Parts: sequence; structure tokens; C-alpha cells
Amino acid sequence: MSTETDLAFFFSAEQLEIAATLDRLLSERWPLENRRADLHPPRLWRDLAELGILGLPFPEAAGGLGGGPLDMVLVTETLGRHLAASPYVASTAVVSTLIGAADPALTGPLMSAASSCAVALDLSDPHSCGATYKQSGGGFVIDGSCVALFGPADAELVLVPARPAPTSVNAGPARVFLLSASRDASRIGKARTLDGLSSHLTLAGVPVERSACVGGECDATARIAAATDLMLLGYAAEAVGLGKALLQRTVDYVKVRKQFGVTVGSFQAIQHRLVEMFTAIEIASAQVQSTAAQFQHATEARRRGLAIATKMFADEAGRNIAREAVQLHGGMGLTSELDVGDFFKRLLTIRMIDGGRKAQKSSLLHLRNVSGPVHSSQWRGAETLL
Amino acid sequence: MEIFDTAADRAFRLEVRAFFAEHLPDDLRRAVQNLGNLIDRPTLMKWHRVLLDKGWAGTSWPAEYGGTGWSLKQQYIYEQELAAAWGPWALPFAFDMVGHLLMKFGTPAQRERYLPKMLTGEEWWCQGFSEPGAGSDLASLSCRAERQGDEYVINGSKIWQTLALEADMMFGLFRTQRAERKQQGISVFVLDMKSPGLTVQPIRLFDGIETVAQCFFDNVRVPASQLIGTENEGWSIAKYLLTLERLGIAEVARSKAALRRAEELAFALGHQDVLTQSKLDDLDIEIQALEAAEYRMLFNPEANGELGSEASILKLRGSALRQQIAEITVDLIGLHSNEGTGRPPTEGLDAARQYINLLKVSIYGGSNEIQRNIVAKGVLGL
Repeated sequence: MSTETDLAFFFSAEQLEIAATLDRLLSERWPLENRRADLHPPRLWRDLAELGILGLPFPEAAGGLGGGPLDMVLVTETLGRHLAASPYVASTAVVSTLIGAADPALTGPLMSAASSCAVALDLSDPHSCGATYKQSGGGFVIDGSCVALFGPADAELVLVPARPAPTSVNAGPARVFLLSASRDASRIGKARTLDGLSSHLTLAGVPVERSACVGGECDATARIAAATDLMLLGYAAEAVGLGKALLQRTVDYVKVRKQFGVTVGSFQAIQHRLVEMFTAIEIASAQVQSTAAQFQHATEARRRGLAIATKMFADEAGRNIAREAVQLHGGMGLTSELDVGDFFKRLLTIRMIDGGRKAQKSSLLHLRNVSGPVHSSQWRGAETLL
Repeated sequence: MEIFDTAADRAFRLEVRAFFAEHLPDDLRRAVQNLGNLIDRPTLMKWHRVLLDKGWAGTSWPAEYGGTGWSLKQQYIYEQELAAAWGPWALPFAFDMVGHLLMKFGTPAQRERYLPKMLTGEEWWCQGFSEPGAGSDLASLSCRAERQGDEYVINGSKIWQTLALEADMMFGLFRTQRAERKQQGISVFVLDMKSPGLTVQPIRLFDGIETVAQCFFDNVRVPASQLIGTENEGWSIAKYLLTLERLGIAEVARSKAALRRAEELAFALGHQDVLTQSKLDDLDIEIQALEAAEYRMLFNPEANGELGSEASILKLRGSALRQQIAEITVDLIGLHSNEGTGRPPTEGLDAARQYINLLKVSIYGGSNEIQRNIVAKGVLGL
């Protein structure tokens, strides 16, 4: 017996069908060996739009499909398995969350791939935006250094959460600004990260109109926090997809690579290491699914704890799998001839993107201290959720 | 995974929770907290009779045999609540193993003879699988059962029988035929532990406890009516037994309760340092993730409650977690771990012995090395 209030843990048949269709599209039309120089060609992005994948996370009022976190992690994991996830979560689910209210004029072009949008977030702490704003005339001026930029590196639009500058006379609420990358090009600096996908962003006195403040004039703190947590969950889902792909490649490889007259996969020492890889990624994948299923029903503290813990767990699984995948491929794993290294670098970047394990652990300890000295059940126990 | 309860699940959970709150005696809770599953027979039986009166003795049994007839989800919820309340484990072997074995492979007469006394706890059971020369390679077992008229005569030895000294009955695997394939020629028997010629010799483990034993069979005569299933086809029954351990395999709920206890101890003993808290966080995250993996395997609508080879990862991670939590508990208490600190909150807590006792969980029921072999073959196709 189920009621309307029951939380769904499992993916519906429809959700699984969408993922299977996406998987087929990527395998048949966009195999990785043809994309290694440019992982996200514009035509792939348009294919995703046609399939409805881009519109999936946007609310129905904005012309989207109203998908939730479960849809998001399933699609992202699938994209991750093909090394095609990078800009997806940022440019869709996170943008949608940051905007808050439906804004078809803005989101329509994003869903049809006519335009693209990146977001500047500090994943290690949603309350410390890298950017600040000052009132200037009728509008604002935005500054910020080393803010991480997520989404397509060449996105036309950039959403920037910002807090009032400390020196600002009239301190206001946290706001989210929409910048035009081309118009403000001279004041926006970008640098690519190790995997060639994400970018760093520096803003040097970018002037914006009052209308560039999206989601209304009210305090954007809650939206920024929700977007940050969603981004973390998205990266966890991507890491799981990358890990699954690496595991599959490694299993396939040890079944054909022969040494001492037998396949190396026939050695128990090798088999047991592969089982550890499988165990790690299977459990991380279940954790991502579980967190996604709880996401919209959790308190903010609980959601934050879940997001950090889930990403940390996926990072750990991803790192171990990446290292083992290279080791079990032997010298070949280090060559650029194979794509093992592409996955390795992406996983390494994902791990660092929110400050890595040290920052994650401090955030969790902070949550623990905030929620009481004995139990950190504020963000842990299910009993606090209902 | 309480958050995923349906309204009906929730109502059931609250009913179970309320029952334990009212009926589970405090001294029994403390005994489970302090000693783990090393509870003596009279104490366990007292609790078992409470469950019997409530109709909750056979939680995994269908109603026609006096069980609860609960769904898998209800059994899962019951186990979670039992662990959270520090209730004792059900009487070993009877309910989760030999009971189901008889329901599936036993004759009506066999069911009639054994199931009712199993339910009441009047007869306790032990298993007879491993032998000195057949551990991980169980199918190479050689303890022989030879047909003589209406009886089988058993000669040889079995080892690692938990509770053999307490048990009234044994169910075990015996060699009835030498065949080319070692899996062929194995048969399942149930037998009386008081049979003439059967000697039980306790094995002293290094925690000083004698809960396991070696059994010696010297012309032990077993009526042919106590053969379960088809002669020589016992290996498929043995494999069926492994699939019955669905709910207990990861022991996530027990780990959760043990970690909460460790957290309380850390606080009470003044371990508020970052290193300790960070370790506890890691374990907590591991538990949550394992719980999600277990839930996904158990209730995946497409799997229909059937677990495949991938379920071995639950045992791999679950056993490791239980041991890690026991380890950190010992670390937190320090030198007084063998007897607690003698004052609250660790009074009577035998953390060191619990830790040593838990070393077995990665060895029994198919060692973790065997579990990895199962996944390598069954899931990865290696």
C-alpha cells in the first residue's frame, strides 16, 4: 500500500527508459573515441535538448519536464559513464534552482540549447560566495576572485551568487546576478582546470543593471544553498558513472590481456581487487540514489550533510577505482592511447572541486558541532526528517 | 531507511517499537549491549516466550507453520527495530535456516515432527557443515553417512558448531556417495545430539569462551526418515540455505546501534577531539551507504526479493563495518576494555571480548575471500 506522501526510492520504469534512450544515443551517435578532443560538441548538446534531457530539471511552469533529484542523478550517472556529464547539472538543475521562480524567457533558450548558462559557486561553503556586489548608481558592480565556474566554458550566460561587499554602506541580502559572458568579456577572466572542462573565473568590477538580479530582490541564501547541495550531488552521481565505466573497461581488459600464458583476470589477486572496485562503486551508487530520493524532503542541515557525505563517499570510491584501473591496465593505463586517463583526470578534478576531503570533513564536523555535542542527528538520523 | 516507509510500514514500525519499549526487559537490553550475542539459554528462552505469546516468534515463517506471515519489508523493519532496541537475536539456526529448509524440502511428517518444537524453542539446533578438512572448500566434505537397512551410520567429524553443547538437534551435510564431482553425493540429515557415538568437544577460543565445538561421529545411527530431500542431492539444499540469509547478511541495524553506543561513549569519556569525531563520521557515512545498498537490493521491484551474487558485497562491507565499530569502541575505552571502566557508562561493557567475538563474522557463512570469489565469478564474469 502506498500513499501520496510516500517517498520513492526506486526509479520508475519511465525514468529508466529515459536513461536507456540516453545511453543508446551516446553509444551510437557519440562514442567517446570520436569525442576525446572535444567532449561536449554543440551538436551533442542539441541532441540532448531534442531528447528532452536539457529540459528535464526545469519546472513545468517554465516549459520543462519538472524532474527532481532522482531524475537528475540517473541522467548524470548515465552521462558520466560516457564522460559527457560535465556541464549538465550546472547548466540545468542548478540554474533552475538558482533562478527560483519560473522565467521562461531565460530558461526556454537553455532547454532548446539555443543558449547556455554557467554558474559560479563555492561548493565548499554555500554561505561564502566568492563574489561580492556593491550598489552603484541604479545598479551594481560585481567583484570576485577565483570563483569556480561550472558549466560550459563558453557559456553565453553566467549566474553569479554574490553577497554585499564588506565595505558596502548599505549591506543587502545575498543575490544572484545574471551576467553576459560576451558583453562583460573584458572584465571576466577564465582558466581551465586539469580535466579541461571546468573553469576558474575572476570578476573585476563588472557593472550590471538592477534587472540582472534574478529571482527577485529577496534574499537568495536558501536558493544558493540548495543549488550548491544539488551541484555536490550531481558530481557524486557523475563520479559514480565515471567509476562504473572505468570498472567495466578494466574488467574487459583483464579478460583479454594474457601473461604467463593465461588471462590476467584468471588470477585471484586481480579478481579480488576488481571485486573491491565493484563493491565501492555499487554502494556509492546506492548512496547517491538514496540521497537524491530524500533530497527535497530533508531539512537544510540534513540535506547539506547528506550532500557532502555522499560526494565524499563517491570521491573516495572514484579515486580508488581510478588508481586501480590504471594499475590493472599496466603501462597501457598510463598512455593517452587509452581513455583511462581521461576518466582519471575528471575524477581527480571532481574530488578537488569542493575543496577535497579536508574541506568536506571540516564541513561535516561543523554540522556536528552546530547540531549538538553527542549526536549529529540533525543531519543524520531519519527521525529528524519527518 | 525509515524515511522510505509507507504509511502502512510506519504504522507497523511504531507497533513493533512500542512492543519492545514495553516488553523488552532492561537487564536483557544491557546484556545485549555489553555481551553481544553471548546470552545464556534461560535468559534467551524467557524472552522467546514473550515473543511466542505475542505471536512473533517465527518472524520469517508463514502463518501456516505458526509464523507471523510477514512480508519481507515487515521482517526488515522488525529487525531494524529489534537492533535499535538492543533486543537479542532470534534463536540461532532454527528460524532462518533449518526451519525454511524443512518447509521447502522436508516431508509433511518431518515438518510435523520438528517445526512445532522449533517454534516454541523447546528444541535448539546447531549446524553441521564445516569439517577439519573442508572449510572454505565445503563441497570436499568427507564425514560419511552409510546406508544400513533403515538407518544411516555416520563416521567422521564436524567442526565449528556454534552452540553444539546447548543444542538438542543438528542439521548437517554428510557424504553418502563418492562421485567424480565433489558436489555430487552429499546429503542433508537432521539428527539428535544425544545420539550414542556422538561426542561434542568444546573449542576454547582466545577470548576464553567456549561457544563453538568439534563433533566426533563414531558409528552414529540415524533413521533413514531423517534424510532431508533427495539422497546425494544435498548440495543444492546447501546453496538454498545461503540465499536465506538475506536480512541478516549485512547487520546494518546492529552496526547502527553499536555506532550510536560508541558515540555516547566518546562523549561520556571526553573524546571530543577532531580525530575521533572524524572517524565516527566516516563510519556513520559507511553505514548510511551500506544501508542504501542493502535496501536497493532487498526491495528492488524488478528483483522480486531474490538476491543474486552481488549480495555478497553486503556481507563483505557489513562484516568489516561491524569489526571497525568494535575496534573504535575498544580504542575509546582503552585499557579497561575487557571490563569497562567499572563505572558508568561502560560498567559491565566487555568491549574487548565483543571485538574478539566479532572477528568471526568475516570468516563464517562463507569467508570474505569466498564472497569475493562469488562476486568475481557471478557478477564480473571472471
